Amino acid sequence: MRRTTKKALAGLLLGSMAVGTVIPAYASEEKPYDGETIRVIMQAHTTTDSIQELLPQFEEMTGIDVELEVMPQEEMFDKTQIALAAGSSDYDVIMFDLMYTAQFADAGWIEELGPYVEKTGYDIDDFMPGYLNSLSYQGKLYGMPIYGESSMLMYNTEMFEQAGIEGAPKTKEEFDEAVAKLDAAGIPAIVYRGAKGHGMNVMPWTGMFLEMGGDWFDADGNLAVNSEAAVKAAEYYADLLKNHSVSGVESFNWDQCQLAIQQGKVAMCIDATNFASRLENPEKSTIVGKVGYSVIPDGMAIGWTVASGFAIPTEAQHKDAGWEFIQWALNKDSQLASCLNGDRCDPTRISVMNSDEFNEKYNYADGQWVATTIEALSTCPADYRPRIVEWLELGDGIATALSNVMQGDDAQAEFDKVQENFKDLKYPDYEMFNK
Amino acid sequence: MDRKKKFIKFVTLESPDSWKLLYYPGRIILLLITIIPTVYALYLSLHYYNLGKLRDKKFIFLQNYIELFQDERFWNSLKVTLCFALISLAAELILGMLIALGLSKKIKLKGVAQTAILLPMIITPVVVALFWKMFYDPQFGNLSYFLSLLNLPVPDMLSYRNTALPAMIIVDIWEWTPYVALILLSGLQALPQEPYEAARVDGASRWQTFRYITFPLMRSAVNIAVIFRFMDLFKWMDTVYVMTGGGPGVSTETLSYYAYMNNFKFLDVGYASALCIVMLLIVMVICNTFGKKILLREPEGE
Amino acid sequence: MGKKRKEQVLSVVTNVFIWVCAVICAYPIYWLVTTAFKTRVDAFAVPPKWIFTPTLENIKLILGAESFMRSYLNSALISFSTVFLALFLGIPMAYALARFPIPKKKGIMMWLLSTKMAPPILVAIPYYMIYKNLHLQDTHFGLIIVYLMFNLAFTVWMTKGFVEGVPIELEEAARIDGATRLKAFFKVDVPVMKGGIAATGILCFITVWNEFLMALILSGYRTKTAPISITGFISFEGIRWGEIAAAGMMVALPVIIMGVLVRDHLVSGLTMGAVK
Repeated sequence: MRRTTKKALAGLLLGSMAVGTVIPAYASEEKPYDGETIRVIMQAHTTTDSIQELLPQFEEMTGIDVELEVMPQEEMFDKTQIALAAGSSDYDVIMFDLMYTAQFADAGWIEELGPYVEKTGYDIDDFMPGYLNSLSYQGKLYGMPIYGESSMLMYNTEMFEQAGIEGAPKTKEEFDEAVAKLDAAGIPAIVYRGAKGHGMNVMPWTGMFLEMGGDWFDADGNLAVNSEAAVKAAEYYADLLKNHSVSGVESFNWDQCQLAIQQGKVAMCIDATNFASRLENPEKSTIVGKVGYSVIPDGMAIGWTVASGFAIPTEAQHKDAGWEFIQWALNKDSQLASCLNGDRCDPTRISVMNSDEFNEKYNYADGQWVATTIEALSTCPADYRPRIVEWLELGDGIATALSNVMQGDDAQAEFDKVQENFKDLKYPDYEMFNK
Repeated sequence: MDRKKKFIKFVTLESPDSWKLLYYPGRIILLLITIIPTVYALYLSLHYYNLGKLRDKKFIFLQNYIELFQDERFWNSLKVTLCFALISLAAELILGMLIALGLSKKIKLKGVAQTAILLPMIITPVVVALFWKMFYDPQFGNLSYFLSLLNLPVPDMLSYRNTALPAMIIVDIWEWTPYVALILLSGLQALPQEPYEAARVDGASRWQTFRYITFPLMRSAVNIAVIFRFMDLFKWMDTVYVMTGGGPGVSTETLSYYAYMNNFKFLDVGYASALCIVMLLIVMVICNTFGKKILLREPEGE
Repeated sequence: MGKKRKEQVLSVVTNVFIWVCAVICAYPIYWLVTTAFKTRVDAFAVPPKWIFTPTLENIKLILGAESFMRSYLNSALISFSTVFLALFLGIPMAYALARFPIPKKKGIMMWLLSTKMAPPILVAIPYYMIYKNLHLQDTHFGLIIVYLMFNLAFTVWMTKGFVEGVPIELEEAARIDGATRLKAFFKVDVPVMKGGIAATGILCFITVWNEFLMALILSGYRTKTAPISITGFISFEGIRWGEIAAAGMMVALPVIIMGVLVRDHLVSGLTMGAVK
C-alpha cells in the first residue's frame, strides 16, 4: 500500500508518467549495422560492469562489434575532452558529465540527439526529465542519462543516539545544534568532500553559497564569486571541516567520505544519494541498518542533481550504430538488471525507479531512502554549478581558493583573486537562483 | 665491377665511410621522432591555440611567453619544482652516501639487503604512488598506526599546505635514494687503494679519511648522481597526478603538472607548450653548464 | 682493545642501519602482497591485521578480468618491440660512434643526452595531434615509436661504453685472420658485450613497462597498458584496494625479476653509462 502511494508521488514529482510498454528499438529482424565496429569509452562504474557483461548479447543481436574502453572518471574526462577537442574520430560513443554539456555542445563536438530519438521512436519520456534537462543545451538534447544522483544527508543513528540527538536535523539551527551535541560527545560530526577540484570541494560549498543568497552572476551577467555569500559560505564550510570533522578530510574525495561513514568514523555525511547501496552492503559496510536518510537541512545548503550520459561525437564514424548501442544499454531491462545485480541505485528511468523489484531491493531504512531520494530529485537543481563553457577553469580557480581558505587564508582575499582572474566572464542570459 | 667491390667493402664495414651505414638509420629515425614533436610544440607555443576555442586561433609570437612570466601560478610551480628538487636531492645524497658507505662494509646477508634496497626504484611508479596514498591515509593508513604505537600524534600529511610537499618529498626520497646510493657505491668500489694506505700510515682519523680522501675522489660520482637526479626531479609529475592533484591549493603543483592542467583541462595547448619549452631550456642550460664535462668523459688517449 | 671494541660497535651500527633501510624499502612489497590476499574488510582493518585468513578472491578477479590480462599482453608486446628496435638501431650507432672517426662526436653525444632532458609532457600534445592525422592513435606501433624516442639515445650511450670496453686488438686480430670487420663484430665484440647488451635491453624494458603519462594519453581500447589498467580499479564504488594490490603485484613482478637479474648493471643503465 505504502509503496503504491510512493510510486504515484514519484510520478507526480518527476513529471511525465510514461510507464507504457517499452518499445524494443531493435525489433526488426534485419541487422542494418552488421559488421560495424564501434568504439565506446565509459567510466568504471557498476553500470559499466553490467553492460560489459551483457555485451555479447548485443553483439549477437545486432552484429555490431563493440570495443568498450573503461577508465577512472578523471582520466576518462581528460581523454574524451582532448579527443573531442582535437577532432579525433576515435570514439563513436562517449560518456560525459553534465558539467561538460555546455562546452561540448557549444563547440559542436557532440551530436544533437533529438533527430535520432525521433528517427527511432525511442521512449525518452520514461527518463527523468531533470536528468534529460541537465544533458541539454539551449533546449536541445545532447546526452542520454546513464546514471544520476541527487544529494542528501546520511547519518549514523547509533551515534545520534549516543549524542542524544533525536531524528534528523531539519533546519540549519537544528543542524548546528546536532553538531554541538556530537562535539560534546566527542564524535566527529560531519564529512564533506574536501579535496581540491571543481567536482570536489566546490560541490558542498556551492550548495551553501546559493542557499546563503549568492549567485554566480549578478543581474547584469557579471561574475559575482566574491560576494558576501561566497565568503560566508567558504568560512562556514571551512569551519565544519576544520573543527567538526575527521582528520584528513581536507583531502577527501567522495570515495573517502563514503568510506568514513561506511566504516563508522563519522556521524553525518552530506553527499550523493547513491552512497546508500554501499552503506547498506554488509560485505563492505560496518553500519548496515544504522543509517538514517533525510533531505539537506533547510537554510544550510541546497543540494545538487547531476547526471552522466552517453553522447555521440560529431566526428564519429558509426553514429547510427552508436545510437543503437545507446538505446540498448539504457533500455529498461538492462537498467533494471544492473540495479538488481549490483550496488547501483541511481537508474535514470522512471519505470525502473518505480518497479517493485527496485523498491524491494533498495528498501533502506524502511523506505526512508527512496522517499528522500525522490524528494531531493524534485527539489535540487541541475544548474547548481553554472553550465558555461569556461567552467573547468573557473571551477579550478574556486577549488584552489577554497583549498587555501581551509589552510587558513583569508576567504575574502582568496575569492577576490578568483573574481579578478575571471573578471571578463559575462553571461547576461544567466538565469539567477535567488531572484 | 669496381663499384660492386666498393659496395661490399662498404657493407662489411671495411670502408672508412661505413659508419654512415651504421649511424644514419638510427640517427634519422631519432631525429624524426624527436625534432618533429619539439618543433611542433615550438609552433604551438607561438600561437594562441586553445582547442576549446579553435575559432580564435592566431599567431601571437611571444605573447604566451610574456604571459607565462606574468603568471603567478607559473612562478609558484617553478618554486614548488625547485624546492622539491633541491630538498629531495640533498636528502638523497646524504642518505645515499650513508647507505653506500654501509654497503661497502661487511653486512650480514648483504645480497638480500642489497636486493631489497633496489626495489623502490624499479617498482612501477603508479603502484608506488597508490601505495603511499594509502599509507598516508589518516584513517586507514599504516603510517598513522605505526605512529600511534609510538604515542605520536596522527599526522595528516597530504591535507595541509605545509606538509603536503614534504610528504611528497618523503616519497621521492624513498623511491630514489637507492639509485643515488648505488651510483655512489659503484664510485666507492672504483676508488684506488693507495691513498688509504698512506692515510693509515699517517694515522688519519676515520672522518679525516672520508673528508680528505674519499669525498674528493667521489666527486665525479656525486656529480653524476646530481645531474641525473636533477633531470628527473625537474620533470616530476606521476606521483602528483596520482596523490594530490597539485593540492592543497597549489602547494604541490609542479611545472609538469601545471603544463598537464593547461593541456588537458584548460585545453590551452599553446600556453602549455610555451611552459614546456621554458622547462626544456632551463634543464638544458643547467646541464650544459654543470654537466657537460662530467658526462662527456672520453676514454684516455682520444 | 678499545679500538677493536669501537670497530665492533661500528659494525653493528652499520648492519642495523642497512637492514632498517632494507626493510623500509621492501615494506610496500610486503603490503602489496598481503593486501592482495585480504578481503576488503581486512584490508581496512585498524590496527592492521598481521594474521588473517588469506583469500584468493582478488587474484582470481584479476586473472579473470579479460581487460586487465589484455593490457598485460599489450605491455609485454610494446615493451619487447621497443627493446628490439632500440637495440637494432642503437647498437650499430654505438659501434660507429665508438670505432669510427665521426665528426662532431661530442655534439652528437650531447644531443643524444638532451632527449633525456625533455619533459614528456612537452611532446604529449604534439604526438597526439600528429597521431590523430596519421591514424596512429591506439596502435601498438604509435606507442612503440614514442618509447623508442625515450630509449634509443639511452641504448646508444650504454652500448657505446660496452663497445669501448672491448679491446680493439681483439677485433684487429680477427681481421688479420681474414674476417671482415662486420664478421669480426659478430665474432669478437658481440660475445664480449653479451651481458651488457642484455642488461641494456632489460633496462629499456623496465622503463617502457612502467611508463604512465604517454600511455595514458596515446593508448586506447586496443593498446591499454598494464599501469593504466591498474587505475581502472579506482572505480565509482570506491578504490578497490584488494584488486589494485593484486594487479600492482602482477605488474611489479616482471620488473622486479628483471631488475634483480641486472642488478649490477642497474646503475650504469640509469646513468646512461656515465658511471661504470
